[in-house]
Amino acid sequence: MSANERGIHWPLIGPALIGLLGLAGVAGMAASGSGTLFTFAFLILAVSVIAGYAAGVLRPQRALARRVEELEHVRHMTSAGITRALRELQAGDLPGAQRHASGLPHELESSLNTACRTLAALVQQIQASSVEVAGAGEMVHGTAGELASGSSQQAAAVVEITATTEELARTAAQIARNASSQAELATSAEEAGAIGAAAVAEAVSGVEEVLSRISGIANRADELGSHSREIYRVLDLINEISQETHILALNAAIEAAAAGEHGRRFTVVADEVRRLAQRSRESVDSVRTLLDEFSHSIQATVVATEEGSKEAARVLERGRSAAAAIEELREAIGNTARAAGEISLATDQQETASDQVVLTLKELSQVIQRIAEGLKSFTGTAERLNQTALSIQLLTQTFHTDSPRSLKHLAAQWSTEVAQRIGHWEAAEGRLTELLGDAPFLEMAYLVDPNGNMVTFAINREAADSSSAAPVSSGSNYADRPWFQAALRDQRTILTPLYDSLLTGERCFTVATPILDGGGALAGVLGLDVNVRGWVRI
Amino acid sequence: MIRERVTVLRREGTTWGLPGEQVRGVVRDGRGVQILLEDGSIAADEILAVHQHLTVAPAPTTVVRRWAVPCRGVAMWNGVPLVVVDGRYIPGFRGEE
Repeated sequence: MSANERGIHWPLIGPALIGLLGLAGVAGMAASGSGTLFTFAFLILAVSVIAGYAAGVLRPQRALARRVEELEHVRHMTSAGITRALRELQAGDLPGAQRHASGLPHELESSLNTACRTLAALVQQIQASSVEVAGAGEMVHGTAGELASGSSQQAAAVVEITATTEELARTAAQIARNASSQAELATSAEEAGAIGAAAVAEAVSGVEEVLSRISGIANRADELGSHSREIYRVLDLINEISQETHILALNAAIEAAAAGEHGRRFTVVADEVRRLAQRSRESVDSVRTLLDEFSHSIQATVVATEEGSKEAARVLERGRSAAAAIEELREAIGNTARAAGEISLATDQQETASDQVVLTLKELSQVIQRIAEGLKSFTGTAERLNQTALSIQLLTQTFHTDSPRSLKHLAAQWSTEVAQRIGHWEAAEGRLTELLGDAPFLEMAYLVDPNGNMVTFAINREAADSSSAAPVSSGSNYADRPWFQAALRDQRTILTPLYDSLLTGERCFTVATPILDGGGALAGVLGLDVNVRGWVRI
Repeated sequence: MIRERVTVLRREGTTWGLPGEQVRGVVRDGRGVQILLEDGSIAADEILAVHQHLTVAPAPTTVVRRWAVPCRGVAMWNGVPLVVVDGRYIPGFRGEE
């Protein structure tokens, strides 16, 4: 440790000692009481002071001036270092800031390094968080979109169900009216059936009476038949008697004829008896004929009454069957009337229930529509959240950190790779193609010369459709592109705002970084087109 | 021409005249009559008349010659010709054994 470092200042010690010696001489002379001595002593003191000043002040001043110059140099260097470091920091290049802080005083370097590390960690954390937020926002957006779509479909389905239920209610009302009419008709039919049943019962009773009378007629006819048989027997008896009488009359006539004149009058009587017997026989024959006709009539009557009885029995059976059928019909009609009444009541209740269901469905439809609208708004919010997260991501990507998620870091590495192949563009293209294989979130990588002419490019076919045409071509000039101009102007890696990719049609942005050759001269600009969706997915 | 007692009978559709002196009586025989004679009976359908004085004319020679049955004569009865024949020669005569 040097004297200065220990706090001892030698240029001040000499004058102080001379001063102290002079002051001691003056004090001794003053104590002796001599004036001359006092003056002498004063002079000695003055000389001592002057000598001390010369020895203690002037020399240190020169040393101090040199020291000041040294300090000014250090200050200048420090100020320049701090300025460069702060410029790098302003540009977001944290490793650059740390590089420029390496020549600064220890505490300042340490503080700057600490601040850069802290800032880098913060940026990385914000990057990770923004990626997560963007991913969550995209997921929420997708889910909310699906829910909104589902809610819309539900709303449409509820509207259809509502219409169907209203149709059902109208149908139920129609059914109720029809059932009521049917019940009224059934009641009327039941009343008509009762009248018909009474009429049939009366007809059956009448037929039964007719049948009874026919039976009476048949009995009477049987009696007449019996009487006719009696008459036949009487006629046979009369005929027998008349035949006997006729025979007797013949014999009497024969005897009277044999008696001659004496039997003449007897002959007349016998002839008269024989004629009476003959007339009796003729009368009997006439009666028999009439009785035959009468018997035939009675027989026809009996047959007719039997047929009438059978017909009446059939009519009676039919009437009873008709009465039973009418009774069953009345019962069926009564059941129909009751069923129709129950149907009418049930359909009335169904109509009421359907109306309530329709009201509920309409309320449900309104709720679902509100939910769908809320979900649409929520979808918009999620979209804005996603965009905000992407914006934060892009803002954090303005910082260059040593993280693999730092696009500027990636661009710097790739630019180093390409810088090693300047002039060997096919090799550079091959290397870019290899690098794209490890970076699926990149759509394209391309290299333009300092004049903006496209030198080479590579397309990531995993990110783009193989049939998609390349949006760039070798030899095209991109000097007027903002990313090219910004990279040339700032000599730093820059990020463009979001735009729609000509290759995939999706949102993307470009990371452009200058490429320096071995001598530090600008050799070109490397452009990397970053697919936002792929980047967020990573 | 003589007036004789003649019994007019009908048998199986044919009308016969039977001399009255041969007739002894009449009895019923089932559906017809049985005319009783002295030596038999004749089954007849019906006795049509018993005449005490029926005008009977002798049978013509041609009839007597050509008809083997002894004919007592012919007469008109109720406008139809009537042959008076011995009862024994009337079909249906049944002699007594």
